[in-house]
Amino acid sequence: MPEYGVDAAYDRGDTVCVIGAGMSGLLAIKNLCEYGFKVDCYEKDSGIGGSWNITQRRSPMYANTHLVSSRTQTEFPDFPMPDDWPDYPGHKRVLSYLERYADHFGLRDHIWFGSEIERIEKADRGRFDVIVKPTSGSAARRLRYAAVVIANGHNWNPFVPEYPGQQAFRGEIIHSSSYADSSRLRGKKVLVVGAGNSGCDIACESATTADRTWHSTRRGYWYTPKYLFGRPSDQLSQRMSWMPKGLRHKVTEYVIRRVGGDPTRFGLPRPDHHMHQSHPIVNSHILHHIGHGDLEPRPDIARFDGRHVVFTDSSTAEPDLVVLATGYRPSYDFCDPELLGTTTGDDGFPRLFAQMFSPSSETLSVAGLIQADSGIFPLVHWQTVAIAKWLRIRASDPERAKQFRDRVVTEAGTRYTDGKMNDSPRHRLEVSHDLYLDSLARIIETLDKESDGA
Amino acid sequence: MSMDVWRRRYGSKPVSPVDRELLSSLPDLDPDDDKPLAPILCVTGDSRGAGAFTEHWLPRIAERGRAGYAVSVRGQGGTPKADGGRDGRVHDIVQAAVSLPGRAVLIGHDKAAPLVARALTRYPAEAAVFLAPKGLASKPSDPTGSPRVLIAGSPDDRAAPEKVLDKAATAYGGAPLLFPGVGHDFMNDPGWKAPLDALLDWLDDRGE
Repeated sequence: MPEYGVDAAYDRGDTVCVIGAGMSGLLAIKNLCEYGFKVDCYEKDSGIGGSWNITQRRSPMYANTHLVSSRTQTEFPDFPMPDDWPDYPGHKRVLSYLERYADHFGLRDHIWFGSEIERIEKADRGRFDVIVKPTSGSAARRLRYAAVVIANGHNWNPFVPEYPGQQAFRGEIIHSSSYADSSRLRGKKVLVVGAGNSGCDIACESATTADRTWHSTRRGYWYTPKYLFGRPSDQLSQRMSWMPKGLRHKVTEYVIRRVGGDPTRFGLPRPDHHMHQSHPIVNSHILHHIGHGDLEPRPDIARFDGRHVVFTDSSTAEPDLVVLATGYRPSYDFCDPELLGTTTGDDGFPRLFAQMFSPSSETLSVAGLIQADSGIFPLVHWQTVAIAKWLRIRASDPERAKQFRDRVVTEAGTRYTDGKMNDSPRHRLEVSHDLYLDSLARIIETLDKESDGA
Repeated sequence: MSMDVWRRRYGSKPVSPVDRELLSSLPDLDPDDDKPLAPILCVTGDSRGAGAFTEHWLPRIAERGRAGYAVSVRGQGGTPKADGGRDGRVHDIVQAAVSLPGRAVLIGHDKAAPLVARALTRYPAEAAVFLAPKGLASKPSDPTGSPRVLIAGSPDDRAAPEKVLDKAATAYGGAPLLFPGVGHDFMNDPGWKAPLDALLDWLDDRGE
């Protein structure tokens, strides 16, 4: 163990520690301050923005990254994006939006850049010791906080699957995290693996750039176009939220079938699930490029074989470059798994109440550990409002807070999805945004009642 | 912010964007100075829109060390008409507010007072002033971020009489601040300066 001067914790009193200054961390700082907390935020990199800051080493983004949810469905509830922006802003605009949010609310005053979290440990009375290590290499410091909000993101730790024969493959294999732009694809035969939003984006770029492109996906998907009837499709579906759930799902699937067409005509498998049971893929171009012969759909990879890739239908491809757009895994190497309810066999996925409150500590929460069938910015806004309200009640009246706390423990691990969501690891963080917002509304209402009665 | 307020908006058709008239007077800031004071965004119900503030108010606000802005909502002053009705006009105020360099103070004069009251439910303003308000009998919903709110008017203003001011002040908790001798046009009446200075004093009081 390195030396921190264990008995020399610098006591920061009632201050709350926020880990990370990406989208979630900024929301946490702003909303905690609004509820009267002092906040210290630690950011490993030299600027804000996390994933959206493409200049940072661990950003998962590529030059052509755009929002997959539309502007009005993505902006923060109390800080709209400029209304003269396009429907689907690119990563540069999103970063400038986060920068403006930080400046408007004076958030930078609370952020310590170039500061990595080495460890967080429980201290007495629900407080936390946080060991902060400057990336400059100077000595680590131990600070004591009233509470910790983890907002370190979950799209920076690449998940790389292992296929038989992969080690001996003679072509090049990269993860999408190290894909920056299409110049890498020019003049090559490329296999893109994965049907997430990155996988589909990169497959489409490759279709127009590379010599030949294969796209391997594990099952049939619903490809939601970015526009339906000239409007962003998520705006349209949100306007149907008054409909009963079953009807809304039927209408959406009908519309997508009619507008997008039958995927099996394009040689793709029929979706084996209903639309709401899987993370939506928002992409208008996949079918277009398949229809032009520039993108060849393939099933899952069975094995690598020298120069070849063999797929589960026994077809083969001979790519120069394989781009694994196989997603990311959350990583919390600075804290004991027990604090986040993680058990072995969970692939490192925490089990939290409402996907944000630690089941084993009252003063530890995680902001932004969700994926949704919508833009997640507003969801994380309401998460951080709930966290701020909870911490305020706990500080003013610990007895009353207990009642709420019981729910935290008993409901840890509840999932907010419609019925039979695919149980693949990539869906472990998935929430249906309407259900999740209903739950956040109930939590906030409970907390408001508690504080009114206090 | 109430989540209901947001969810209703989230589930409805967004209003069309419009090219808004946003006028300003900026203070000469000493770069060595600490944090700049909160900028002020003025809106009136008068059809002149932002233009009503350019002669006296914005320059005086800048003289007092704050960035002064005024916005014309859709169909007012130099901003073209557009859809959305009242929601559209509130949208214009919120859009103008978030475009400012810091958390803004909102001042709503005349029929813009109820619009600012609604903007406060959507944007966490630093503070708000309802000046000679018209049509602000109640609070549409709680302001988000708990800003300080002041209601001000003139006992000699028949367009926004004391009874109306009292009602608005009760809704927001407090008593109205009265400036005798000024007419309804607080921005351009001969006695414009004293009330504006008093409002700025009230803001300076907490360093906002």
